[in-house]
Amino acid sequence: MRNNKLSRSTQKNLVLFVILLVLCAFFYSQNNRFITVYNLTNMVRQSLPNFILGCGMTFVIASGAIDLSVGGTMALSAMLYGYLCIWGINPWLAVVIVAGFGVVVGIFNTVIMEKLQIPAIMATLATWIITAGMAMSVCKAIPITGPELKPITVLNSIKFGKIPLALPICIVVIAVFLFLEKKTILGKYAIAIGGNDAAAHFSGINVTKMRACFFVLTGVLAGLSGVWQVARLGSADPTIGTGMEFKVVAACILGGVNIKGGEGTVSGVMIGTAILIVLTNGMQMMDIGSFYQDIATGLVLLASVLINSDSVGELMGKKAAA
Amino acid sequence: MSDHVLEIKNISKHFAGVKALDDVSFDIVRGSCHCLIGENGAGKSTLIKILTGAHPKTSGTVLYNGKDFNPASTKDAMKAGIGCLFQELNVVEKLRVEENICLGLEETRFGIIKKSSNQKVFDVLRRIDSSIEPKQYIEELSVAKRQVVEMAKALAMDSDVIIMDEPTASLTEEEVKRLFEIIHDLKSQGITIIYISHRLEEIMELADYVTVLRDGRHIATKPRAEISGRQELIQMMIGKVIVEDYVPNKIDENIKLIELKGVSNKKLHNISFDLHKGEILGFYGLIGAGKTEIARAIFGADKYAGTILVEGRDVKAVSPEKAITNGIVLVPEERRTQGICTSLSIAVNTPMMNYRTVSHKGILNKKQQGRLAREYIEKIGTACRDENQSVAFLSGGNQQKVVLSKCLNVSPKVLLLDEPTRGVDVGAKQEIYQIIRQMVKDGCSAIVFSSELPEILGLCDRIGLLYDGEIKMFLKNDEHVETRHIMSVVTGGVENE
Repeated sequence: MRNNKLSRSTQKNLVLFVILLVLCAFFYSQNNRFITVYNLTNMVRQSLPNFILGCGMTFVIASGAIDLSVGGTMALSAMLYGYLCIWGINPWLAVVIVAGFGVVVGIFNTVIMEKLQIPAIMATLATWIITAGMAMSVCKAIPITGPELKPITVLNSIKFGKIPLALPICIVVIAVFLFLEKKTILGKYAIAIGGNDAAAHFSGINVTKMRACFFVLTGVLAGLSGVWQVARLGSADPTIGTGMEFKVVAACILGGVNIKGGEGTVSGVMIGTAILIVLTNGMQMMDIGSFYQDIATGLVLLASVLINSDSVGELMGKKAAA
Repeated sequence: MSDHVLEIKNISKHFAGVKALDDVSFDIVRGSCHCLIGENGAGKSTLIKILTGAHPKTSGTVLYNGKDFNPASTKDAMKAGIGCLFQELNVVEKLRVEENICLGLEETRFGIIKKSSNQKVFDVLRRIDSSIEPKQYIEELSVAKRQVVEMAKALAMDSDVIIMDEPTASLTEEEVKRLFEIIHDLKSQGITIIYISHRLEEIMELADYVTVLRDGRHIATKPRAEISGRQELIQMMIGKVIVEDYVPNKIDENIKLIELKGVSNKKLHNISFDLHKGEILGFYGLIGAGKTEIARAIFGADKYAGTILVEGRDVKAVSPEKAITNGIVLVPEERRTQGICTSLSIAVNTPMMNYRTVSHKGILNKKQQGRLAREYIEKIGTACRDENQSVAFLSGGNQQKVVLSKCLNVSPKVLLLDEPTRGVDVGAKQEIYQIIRQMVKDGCSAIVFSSELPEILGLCDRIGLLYDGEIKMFLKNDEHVETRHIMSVVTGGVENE
C-alpha cells in the first residue's frame, strides 16, 4: 500500500489518458489530417454537449442515480429556444429562460425519484420519453429556422485566432465542475450518498436536497446544450438530442464512474468523453462505416468496464500472484 | 443533577402483539461502560433501537441528561449526543478519513468547504487513535480502523453516549485489545459506553455495570464488583430451560450421508463431522458463530476449502441446484428474503425446487401444480384460504410451512434447517418440530442450526457447539447434558470450567 502514493482513481485516470494518447497516435498514423487545427476544433465544437453533460452526469451517477432524460431535455430546450426567439424574445434572455427550464426538469426528476420513491432509471426514462415526444410534436418533427435564430450562431462562429469559442467554454465549465467536485460539499456528498446512503443520512445530509442539486445541474446543462446545438446548426432540430444520454452515460462508465454510485471523478469522465469522441472521429476519417463504429465503441466500453470491475481485477491479481 | 446519563423507566415495546420489551427499567451511570447481555431475542437490539430512535417505544419514558428523550430518527438521536456503532459500518469507502469524520458537519460558506474543519478531525483522532492519517482513504483501512473512524465521527458530533453493538465480531485479538484501550480512554473523558456482546469474557473485563435481559424482561442490573463470574451471568441469561421431551431417533451408524473434512472459509475454521442416516444433528451457537455458514457450505451456496462428501462422493464447490439434485435441501435463515417468494401464491412456491414434476417438456401444468400444493397443505397442515393465496398474507408459521413443503416435495435425503422456527409462534413451533420428526422417521436425516437451546435439546441426537467459526465439542443429547456447560462453551469459555 505504501509504495503507491497515487489514489486508485488517479491511477485509473492515468491509464485512460495513456489510452487516449495511443488512440490519437494510431489515428494520426492512419490519416495525418486527424491532428490538424481544423479537425481538432471541429471535434470540440461538435462535442461540447458531451463534455459539459459529462460533468453533470458524473455527480448524478456517483451519487447512485442516473439521468436518462438529458437527450430529451436537450431536444425540447432547443425547440423552446427556437420558439422563444421567433416570438421575439431577446435571444440572450431566451438562453436564461431555457436554463430555467432545465432547472424545472431537474426538480421534476427529483420529485418523481425521491417523493414518489421511483428509481432514477425509471423516473428519468419517463422524463426522457415525455420531453423527446414533446420536442417532436411541437414542430411536427420539422426543424424550425429563421432569421431570428441568427444572433445565437455567433457563438459558433466567434474565433480567437484559430481557437473557436467552444474550447474556452468547455475549459471554463470543466474548471467549475472540478472546483465543485474538490472544494465544495457537492462533490463529497455525491460520493457519500452513492457510496453509503445510510451513512450519509445518519450524518445529517439532506439526501433529497442534494439529489435535486445534481439533477438540476444536468437539467441546466442539457438546456444549454440544446441552445448550443441551435447555435451550431442555425436551426432548432428536435432530433439533436437523440442518443445523447447513452453517449454521456457511456463516457462516465468509461471514465471510471461506478454505475452503482460512490465512485467517480470529473477528470476521468472528461478523458472518457475524449476517448469516445476521438474513436468516432478517427474511424470516420478512416472511412469506417458508422455501424462498425458502433460495434467498436461498444467493445471499448465493455473492455473498460471489465478493467474497472473488481472481480476481473482479483482474477488478474491471482494469476499474477500464481 | 444526577450522575445518570440515561434513565430508562418502564419501557415496553410491542410488535404486532408480541412483547419484545416488557416494563424494562434501569439507569446508566455517566462515564461508565454499561454492558447489555441476553440471549438472542432477549430484547437487546429492540432497546438499542429505541434509544437510537430507530423504533418508537410503546410505553414508558427515557430520560437523557434528566430530560425526556424521544428521538424521531437515528439522526435525531445522534444530534442529541447518542452515537451508535452499527454492526454494518457506516463509513464511505471512497472518501478520506477526514471527509468521513466531517461528513454532514462541514463548515461551509456558499457550499465551499472551509479549511478549519480539519482541526477538529486532528483533535478527535488524537483523542482515540493517532495512527490513522486523516488523508487516508477508508478503503485502505482494516475493519478495526474503520470502527475507530466511526467512533471519531461520534466524538466529532459531541456524543456523550456511544453504543457499540458487537464491536468485536470481526476483530483480531490484537485489535480487540486496542479497542478496549480506546474504551477506557473514552470513559476517562466522561463518555458513556453502552456495550453489547455475546462474549462474556469481554463483558467481565470491560464492564462497570451489567444489565441482563431475558425474554424482553429486565432480569438484573449489577455493578461488575458484585458479579462472581461468568457462571452467574450465564445463569441470569438462560434462567430455567424448559425442554420438551426428546425422543431418540433410529440411527444407522454405518451409513454416513454427509461427511465434512476440514471445511474452512472466511467464517469457518476446520469444520469436520459426519451425519448418519436417520439422525438429527444439531448445531448450537450464538449469532456469528458460523451456523448459517456451515449450512450454506453444505448447500453449495458458499465456496470453501476442504472436502464435503455426500454419500461418499466428493461434491466440491457445488451449487444449490446440484445440492438439490443430490438430495440436500435448505430451509434458510431468512424466510422472507431467502425462503419464499412472498408475492407469489402457495401453488407457485411449493414446486419451486422441483418444477420438473409439475411440467411437461418445459410447459407448466397448472392442474398438477395445484394438486401438489394441495397435497402438501394437507400433509403439513398449512392454514390458508386455498393454494392460490399469496404467501405474503400468511402468518410466519404458515410461511415457514410453505418453505417446508417446498423442501419436502423433492423427497430429500438431508434436510438442512437454519433457524427453522425464527419468528414463529409457540403453537406453530411444535407443529414444525413434529414435521421434522416425522420426516426423519420416514427415512430422511436432518441438521438443525439454531440459537435456541430448547429447540436443539428437544430435537437433536447429537449437538455440536460452535464458537467463532469452530466446532468446540460434540455432545450426545441425554439427561447428562447441562445447559450451563453448553452456554459456557458457546460464549467462549474453557471446556472444563
